[in-house]
Amino acid sequence: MFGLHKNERLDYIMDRMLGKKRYIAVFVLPALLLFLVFGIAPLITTGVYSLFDYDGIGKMDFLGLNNYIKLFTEDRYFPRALKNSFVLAGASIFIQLPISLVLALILAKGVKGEKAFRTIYFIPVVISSMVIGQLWMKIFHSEYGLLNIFIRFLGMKDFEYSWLSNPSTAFISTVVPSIWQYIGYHMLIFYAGIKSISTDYYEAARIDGATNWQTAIKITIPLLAPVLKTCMVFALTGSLRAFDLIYVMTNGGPNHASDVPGTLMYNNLFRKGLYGYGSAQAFFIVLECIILSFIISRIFKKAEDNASAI
Amino acid sequence: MRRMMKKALSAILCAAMVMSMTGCGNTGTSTTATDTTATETTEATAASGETNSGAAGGDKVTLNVWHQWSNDTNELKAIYEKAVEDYMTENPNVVINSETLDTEAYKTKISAEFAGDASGIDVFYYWGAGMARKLVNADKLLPLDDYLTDDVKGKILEGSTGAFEFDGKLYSVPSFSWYMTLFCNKDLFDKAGAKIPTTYEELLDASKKLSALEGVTPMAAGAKDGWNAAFIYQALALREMGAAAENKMLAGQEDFGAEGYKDAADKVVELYNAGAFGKNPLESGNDDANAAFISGTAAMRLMGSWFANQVYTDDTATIDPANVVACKIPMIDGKGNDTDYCGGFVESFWVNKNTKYPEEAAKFAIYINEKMGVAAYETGSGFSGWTTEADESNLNPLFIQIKDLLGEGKEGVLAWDTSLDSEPATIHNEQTQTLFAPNADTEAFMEEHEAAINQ
Repeated sequence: MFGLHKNERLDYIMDRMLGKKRYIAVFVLPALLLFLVFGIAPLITTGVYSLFDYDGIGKMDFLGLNNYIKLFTEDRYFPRALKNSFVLAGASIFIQLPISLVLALILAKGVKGEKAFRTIYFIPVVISSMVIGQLWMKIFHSEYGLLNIFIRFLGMKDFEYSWLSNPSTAFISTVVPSIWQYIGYHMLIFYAGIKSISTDYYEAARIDGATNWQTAIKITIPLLAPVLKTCMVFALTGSLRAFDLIYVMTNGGPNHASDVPGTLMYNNLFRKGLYGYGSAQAFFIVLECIILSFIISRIFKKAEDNASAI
Repeated sequence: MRRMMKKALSAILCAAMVMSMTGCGNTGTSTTATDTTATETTEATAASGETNSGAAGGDKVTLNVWHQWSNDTNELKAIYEKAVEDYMTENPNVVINSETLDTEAYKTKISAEFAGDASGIDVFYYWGAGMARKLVNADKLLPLDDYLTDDVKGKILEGSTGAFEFDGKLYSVPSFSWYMTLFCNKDLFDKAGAKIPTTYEELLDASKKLSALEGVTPMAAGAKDGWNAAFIYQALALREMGAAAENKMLAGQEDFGAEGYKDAADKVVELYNAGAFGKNPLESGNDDANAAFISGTAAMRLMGSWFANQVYTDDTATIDPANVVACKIPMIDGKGNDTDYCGGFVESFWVNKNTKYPEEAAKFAIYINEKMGVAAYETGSGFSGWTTEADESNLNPLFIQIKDLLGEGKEGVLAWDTSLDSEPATIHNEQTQTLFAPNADTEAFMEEHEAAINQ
């Protein structure tokens, strides 16, 4: 009896506490503080630096928006880097996501060794990008690389390239591992999404005589709209701020052929000591990611409404 | 109830503070984590320093010293630690607190610290010429003129302070220098019937002959690392232009653009087309190229004198070090001066202008520069900037060859990426890389350089 009384009392206290804004503020404070100190504050300082001519040590000269204007007028490498990042984003959305989705559909359907496949596809996600970069550098090596050995075996000498040091193939050669690396990641999100769809729909569909293809197109994918949106935002923003793999494999070279805004920014900030200009590039990447994520949300809004209506 | 809430509130606030502190703390530990032993000793000395200063009423002086010998296998690190220990024994009122990071991370850290007032740094290792100029212009460095006694001045090697002088003031004293050397594997030259090159024509001819050998690259370029590519260009540019003209250009007294600079670029392209650097020099970097030379798959390597040490001590080396010949950069007919060389004094210890103990910091900086200069020489990794007597018993024969070459040298040119500002320096390294690919455009190479250097 007494215990029950105590529980009731605790509930009452909790209700009262959460009813007061003061207490809510206290509970939110730690997370908010961390977010502000490590998330928002650096972003704002980067934004401020981007308005200055600043070498990281000496004087800061105010430039206004000139750094941003320079990005598109004077900088010969930035437009190309931007174009590369869009190619990467396109490849992620139109090649990587469909492959992930198909794999997820097959796995969720229940194949033999479902768990094993799930783990195997996820392995590249867990491995450090440094290791993946090294691995693919070996594959693309002109002398002993797997790819060229295979090409030689087929006797197609004309297609033997030094993939990573040839300006015309360097960027594409970095796109392949970038896509390969995260297939398992998106597959797992899709897989979890598919598994959470109620089996009632499928049973009803089967009674109506629907084929596997029809259930996938008419039931699974429409219901996956929120998950699809999430994956698309991840794939897009991940591509726009791509850095690690490309940095390891080519560092944007040869002669900037495989640069993306991320590698260009790094070199401006830490090699050339252009803190102001590099910050403008960093800030641009952030803005670009926010705006494009917002656009994707808008595009998916209707599809999501439909999904939740079912 | 209210009291309980107050307790809860204070607990949460404490937690938030601790969390944010671990946030800051993390970066600190991860930066020093590269070297646990150093950190441990550092912390121990720091702790004892604090207690002492508390007890003895502030007589103790604690100096924070930063350097970049982070690797335990580096001989210089052990020598540095020994020197610090000796110094503390001789000067019982001084506690030296050392911090270390890997080169690239180190450069970034120093830049970041000096964006503020770098209050945690008293003495630090850095590169002179163009790199230090940025700090001098921002008024971050302490000139050492007032702290140099005649005794010390007398020990400094003549002509070794160029990279440390700015506007007539001396901001550091030399430590050790390097010398760009053409290392040749005589076995492979004999096999190919080629002559060890003393001129560019011979170099081109040897490259052609060596490239006929199966599985041998005539010269390991390591061009994936920009500074390696730049070394080869700089060597030829030195012979085309001469040291005096280059130094004027690097100091900003003359514009970049003379015909010789283009001729040097054309010669790199000519060598590339002759197969001197193998098929894909952009595929391998400095370490790969060093490995190729010491494993006998490359016949030549153009590198700093420090490479001599690796030829002798690297466990993976399969070539006979006795058959490695150290040569000067090949001459170009009718041009340049054979007493010109690439290299010089550029690395040393500097004093932060904001240090609390300028006198003690300056004294230590001068001490450690001398000690490390002599030590670098004794271990065969560099040439001392001091006339102090050194123990030559451990020098390897290859290093002695280089020493003799340096003895003939009169005017040196530092690596361009240490002489120039960081922006043109990066562009220079990037542009020289473009020479190591098919269809290199030397016109564009010149334009990019002119735009970057002649600002």
